[in-house]
This record gives sequence, C-alpha cells and structure tokens, in this order.
Amino acid sequence: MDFIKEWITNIIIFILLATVLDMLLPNSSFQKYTKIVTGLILIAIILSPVMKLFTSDFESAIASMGQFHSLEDENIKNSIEFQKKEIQASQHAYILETMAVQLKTAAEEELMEQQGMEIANIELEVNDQDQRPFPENLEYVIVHVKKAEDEGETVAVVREVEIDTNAPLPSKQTSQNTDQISSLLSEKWNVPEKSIQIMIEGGSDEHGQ
Amino acid sequence: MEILQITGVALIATFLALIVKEQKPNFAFLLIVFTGSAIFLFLVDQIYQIISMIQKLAANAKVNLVYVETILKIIGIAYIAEFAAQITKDAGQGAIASKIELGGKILILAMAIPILTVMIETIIRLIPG
Repeated sequence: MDFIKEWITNIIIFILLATVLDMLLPNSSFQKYTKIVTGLILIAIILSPVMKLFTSDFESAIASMGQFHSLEDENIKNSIEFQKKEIQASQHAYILETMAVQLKTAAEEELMEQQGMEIANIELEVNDQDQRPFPENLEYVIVHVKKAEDEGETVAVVREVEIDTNAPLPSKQTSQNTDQISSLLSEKWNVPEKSIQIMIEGGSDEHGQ
Repeated sequence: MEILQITGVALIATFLALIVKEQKPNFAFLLIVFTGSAIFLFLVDQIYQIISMIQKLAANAKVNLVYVETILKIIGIAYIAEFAAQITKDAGQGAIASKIELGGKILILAMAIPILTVMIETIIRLIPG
C-alpha cells in the first residue's frame, strides 16, 4: 500500500512539474526536445514497478541520469584510488615498524636480565580481512630471540615466538626457557599468556653453557 | 514593481542607442548588448525563486528527488542556452547563436540516455527469447 501511494504521488508531482517546465521554457526551439525527455522520464516513472522486477540496476541507472562522466574522470578516479592505497600501505608499514620498535624496547631489558637473551627482530603480522582498526586485527607476533652477545660468542640462535591472538595452536616444543620468555613477554605486552605460542627452531642449545 | 524597472531600463537604453547611433554606431551597439545582459541577470533572480519553490515542494511531497533534479537541470540548460543565444544574436553573431542552441538541445537529449537504455533492456528481457 505504501509503495503504491509513493508511486502515485511520484507520477502526479512529476506531471505537475512537467507542465510548469513547459510554461517556464523560454521559446519553442527547446520545447520539442524537453517534451521528449520529460515524456521518457514519465514513462520510466509509470513503469518503475515493472522495471524493478526485470532490471537489477534500475535505481542506479535512474541515479546516473544527467551525469556525464567521461573516460578522463574514470582515469583520475583510478589514479587517486591507487595513490590512496599506496599511501595507506606505507603508513601501515610505518605503524607496524614503530610498534615493533616499541615492543622491543619495552621487553629488552628484562629479557636481558632474566634470560640472557636479546631480541633480534620482531615481525608483526596483520590480518587483512579483519575490518577492525590496527591493534585489534593483529594476527601474530614473531619474535626472533638470540643469545646476548656479551657472553663472548656470536651464536645466532634464532627462535620464532608466535603470539596468536585468535586461537591457541598446539605447541610443538616447550621448555622452561620458552615458558619464561613467553610469560615475561605477555606481562610486558599485555597479551594473554594462554594465547602465546612459542616455536623454537633449531633450539637444542637454548639454555646456553 | 520589477516590470517597471525592466521596461524603464530597456526604453532608456533604446532611446540612448538611437541618439548615439548617429555619432558612434559601435557604442550604440555595445550599449544594446550590455542592456540585454543586464535584463537577463535581473531575470535570473526570479528564475531562482521559481526553482527553489519547486525544490521545496518536491522535498515536502517526499517524491523521488532524482526526477525533480532532472527537470531542474533541463530548465537550467534551456535558460542558460537561451540567454547566451539571444545575447549573441543581439551582437549580430547568428551562427554562434545557432551553435549554442544546438548544444543545449543535445545536452537535454543526453539526459534521456540512461532511461532509454534501461527501457530497452527491460523490453528485451520481456521478450521471451
């Protein structure tokens, strides 16, 4: 019922406006053309229920009436979109980098004191499908840990510490050392410890001599 | 009484043009063109009032604004083209005036293209293939 009411008011108002338009028009040279256009629009309004049934993009076609977009506009739009994406990507990378630096400085000292380890590198992985803003859509944190170099040896044991905020993965290898590191990092970074997973790669000599 | 102002300006300009024409035909001609433009500028204000009235009515009646916008665009194109064509005709450039009118007509017709395409598509779908 509501739809019918709206449809009929549309028709009536449009006819009234079309007559006003005919009266307003300056001289007869334009009248032929305006009559064609107004007639077409009137047919479109009258047939709009049928149109909505048979065409999917009726609304968009009506909305694009009287807008002339050229190829140039499309190109400009595309280039703007492209540049936007580039800027966003660079900002994104920068945010991740600064965040990694901050995480490192937050945990560095205590890790050094308690474990004799130092963080070589932190990689932050973000879930791109997640629509939430940056801190929430963090997928996991990879921490490369190595022995501190002040022990006089340059051992480059690299560990991967995975912090998965979505679901706890079954840990492959756990040891006291990694447990301690993970608890320390979770305390420092406010990540719940049960979602922290630590994976050791080549970690047979993890306890040091 | 705007009509008195318009007619007054027009008549004064006519007499002045007649007087000046004997001495300096160029200036008389320019005077006529400028007077025509001034009268058109005066009328634009009235046209604006009419158009805003139509817009208010349409907004109050809760109709689909797309149709009203199209009609207003047609009015705008027609008036702008008409004014420009008349002024160029007054200036004695009938060729350019006809080109302006042609442009106005074509732009008005171009508005109907999306509607036409939708209609043709609908008709083609209605025909059982």
